[in-house]
This record gives sequence, C-alpha cells and structure tokens, in this order.
Amino acid sequence: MKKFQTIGLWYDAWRRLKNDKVAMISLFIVIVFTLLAIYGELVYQYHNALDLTPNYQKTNLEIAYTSPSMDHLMGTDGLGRDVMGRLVQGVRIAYKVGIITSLIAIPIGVFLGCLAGYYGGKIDDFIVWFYSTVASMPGLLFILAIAMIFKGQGLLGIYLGIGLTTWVGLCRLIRGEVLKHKELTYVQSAKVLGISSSKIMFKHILPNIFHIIIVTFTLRFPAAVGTEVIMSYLGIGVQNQPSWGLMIESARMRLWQGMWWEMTFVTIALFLLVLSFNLLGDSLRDALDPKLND
Amino acid sequence: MSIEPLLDVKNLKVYFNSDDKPIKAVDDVSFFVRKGEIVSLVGESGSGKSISALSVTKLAPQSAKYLGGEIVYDNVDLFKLSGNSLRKIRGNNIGYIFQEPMTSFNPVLTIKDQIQEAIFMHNKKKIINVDYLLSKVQLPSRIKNSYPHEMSGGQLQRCMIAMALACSPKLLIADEPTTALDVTVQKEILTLLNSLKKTEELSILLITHNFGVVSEIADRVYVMQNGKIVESGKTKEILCFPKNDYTKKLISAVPRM
Repeated sequence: MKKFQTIGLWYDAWRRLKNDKVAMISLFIVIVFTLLAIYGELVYQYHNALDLTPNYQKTNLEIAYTSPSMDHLMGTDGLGRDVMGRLVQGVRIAYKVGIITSLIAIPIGVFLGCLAGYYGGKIDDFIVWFYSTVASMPGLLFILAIAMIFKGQGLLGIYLGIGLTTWVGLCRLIRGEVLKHKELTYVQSAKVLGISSSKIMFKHILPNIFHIIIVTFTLRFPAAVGTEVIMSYLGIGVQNQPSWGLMIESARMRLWQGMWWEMTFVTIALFLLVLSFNLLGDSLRDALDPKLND
Repeated sequence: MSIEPLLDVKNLKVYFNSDDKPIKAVDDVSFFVRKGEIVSLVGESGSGKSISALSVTKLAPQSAKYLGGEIVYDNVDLFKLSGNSLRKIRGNNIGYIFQEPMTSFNPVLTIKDQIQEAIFMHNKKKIINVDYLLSKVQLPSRIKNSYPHEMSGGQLQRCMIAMALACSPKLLIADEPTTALDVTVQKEILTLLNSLKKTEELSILLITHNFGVVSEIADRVYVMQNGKIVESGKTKEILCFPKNDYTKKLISAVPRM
C-alpha cells in the first residue's frame, strides 16, 4: 500500500527522472554548461570592473593558429587568442540569449494564448489577428529591424529582437490546448465551485499544459542561440565579445587551410548544448505528467 | 420539511441554435425543490435533464440560449444576476457533483488543494478543516495529500461530495452521481447522500436515468422526455401507478433480481 504516500508532484517527477539514464546524462551536461556560463560571467564581470583586458581578448600574433597543445588545450585562433577561453565566453552569451529571450517570449505567448483560448469571441479574434500579423512578417527581417533600433546597446537589441518575435508559435499551441482543456470536466467542476476565470486559467489549466512550456523552452533555447549566430554573422549581433556565432564565422574561412580546432570545438559545444537540452526537455515532460502513472 | 421551495424553476426555456431551426433542449420546464428534500429529474440521454440542472447557475455550454423563465433560489432570481454575483452563488450556495469522478478533478492538484480552493474563494478568513470535511464523507484524512489518479472512483466521488459541501451550500445538484461507479459503490454513495440530507439539512436535485436510483432515495420525481416534463409526483405514486407510457418504459427498464 504505497498509495497514500505521495509527497508531491516535483518529488514524483524527480523520482522518475532519476531512473532515466539519458535524462541524467543530459542533466549533467546542462549543469556543466550552466557552471561554465556562471564562471564566464564572473570572469567577464571581474575584468570589466577592474577595466582589464581579459586573456581571451588578448591578441598575440606570434602564436596565431597553433594547434591544440598543453598551453592552449583547444588551440588558438587567427589573432592568437585562446579558443577555450573564448568558448567559455560563448557559453555565457548563449545562455544569456537563450534565457533572456525566453523570459520575454514565453510570458507573452502564454498570457495571450490563455486569454484567447479561454474567453474566445472578440478577444480571441483580436489575439489571433495580432499574432497572425506578427507571424506574417519575415522573421529575420523583423528581428533585424528591432535590433537596428537598439544598435550599439550591446545585447539588448538581440534580446528584444528575438524575444518579441518568437512568441507566436507558443501562443498558438497554448491557445489550442486551453481551448481543449476548458471543455474538460475538471474545469467545469472548478466553475461550479465559483472559482474565478483568472484562477481557472492560471491555477487549473496552466499546470496541466506546463509540459508544453518546458518543451518549448528547450526547443527555442538552441533556436535563439542559432538566431544570435546569424545576427552576429550579419554584423548587428554581438560585437567585440566572443560569441559562438562569431567564432564559427571566423573559423569557417580557415577550415580549408587545415585549422580545424576552432570550428570543431565550437560545433561540439553547440551540438552538446542543443542535444542535451532537447533530451532533458523530453524526459522532463514525461516526468512532470502526473497522468503517466508508473 | 417546510413547504417553502428553496429552488423554484418556472417555465425555463433553453435552446441551441442549429442551421435551420433551434433545438429545444429544455422547453418550458418547471420544477421546484423544497428544503431538506431529494427531488429527482429522470429521463433518457438527451432529454434535457442535465442542461436544466446546469442552467440553474447558467453553466450550460456557450452555444445555449436562455430564452425565458425564472430561476428563483432563496427568493433571488438567478437569471437577473450579473456574472460575478452568480459566481458567488456557485459553490457557496449551490454545490454540484458530476457523473465522472475520475475526470472531474484537476490531475495536477492534490485533493486538499482542490477542496481548500473552493473555501478560500468564498470565505477568506474561515479556518479550513479538510479532515472534518473528509470525515463527513467517511474518508480517512490521510488521503488529503493524494492526487486524483491515485484514488478509486468511489473515493473520488466521495471527495467530490466533500468538495461540493465545503462551503455548506443548501442545495446540492447531483448530475448522475452514480452512473460511472459499480453497483456496490453506487449503493454506498446513495446511502451517503441520504444521510447527508438529514445531517446537513441539504436539498438535493438528483439527475439520473435510472429508476433504481430514484426508488432508493428520491422524495419526488419529475420525468423528462424531449425537453418537456411528462409526469411528476411523489416517488411511490409514480413507481406504483405510472400514468405516462414513457414512465412505464423507464421503470420496466430497471433490471430485476
């Protein structure tokens, strides 16, 4: 009789996650990346505060294009800068872009999606019209236009550009799910108890569709990193900071000369980050679903 | 038992719009429930009994049109109330229980959370004793931290009754409360409803298609067919001397041992 010994939803999820090897490996990689990002941020802030040039920015043309060795585990780039140091800074920027754009896009998508799905009628019409309008503009051009407005203000342009344009997909998904859930009996039984609409939306329906938000987060995180890469390549993204986009762009030109290390390590890092986020998100969705009884 | 009706529904009309002509789901239906009385609406699927019950607090699906009638609860016409004041009546004065206990609970919240929420919504300061509510429906207090999927249908139906009674409403509307349960559990739930009627001075509007259930606990019966009430009266009279053919058919449909 272990029937009545449940401690909580999150404890349950963790118990299921622990038995999932793939999820645990992915979690480990994500944690390593997170620690690297925090370390990168500390290094960046330290040098910023003391107004020093950090090691990963110091150019030394005498050691340009050295292959991996004990001094430089991942070699150096065309200006003699340490690839590993720049890679870690790249993690920092990737995390910042992924997290901050999610913090902008996900609340917009969830809020509008809930309103549209739950109330229907004119509110729904307006929100559907609004996101269709946003979606009809070519994504990258829209992002570039927003980023242009905030040009020269560091990463702000990237955050707003990606954040304000990528909520449409989530909004559609949430609207559809809320439409489905509001007809279910548990919502009806919340209504007959006199529970207010906002509570039904955000306390009753939202936790039931939370796995969609988690999965969306894990999918849009690497997508945001990718968009940042493209923007950096086009010259209105990150400047004067070692983002993965800039590193891949500069390494691309030297690949045919046999300078494989910069491209290889950056690509592996990007690959691991994307893969582990996706696998972890998938396992989390299963683990957080209370209807899947084990 | 007082003579004064607690709920008085007069000439209720609820139509659904369709392409050519409106579907008359509830067509000029009148019934009343006195204090401390169990009244049953009986009819087959689609006879309009559930829509009548949901319409008491205007909860019928969005496509339904209320075309007339009065619903007087405790001397207040519910049809004239705004959405917000209606919301205060739901749960607080009129409780509902549904047919499918397994799907009527939010799967991600514990039983305790769901029972408490109803009370918080209506009365912020009241001290909540979930254990006491659960004991009223004869459940052990340890189940309050369970999730709905961990419990059986009978337990969930008891929880649903506890939830409906959380704000001590005077009227309980039970929409086929036993249909999804097996026979022994059905009997327990009916006995529970009957004892709650006495201890809580509860009026119950019982919606069912099963005359077996009616004969167990109902004081009076309304028989519905195609959105109209075809026969009404005291349970014993209807069971012994049914006048309408449809009523006879429903009574003969109850399986006998």
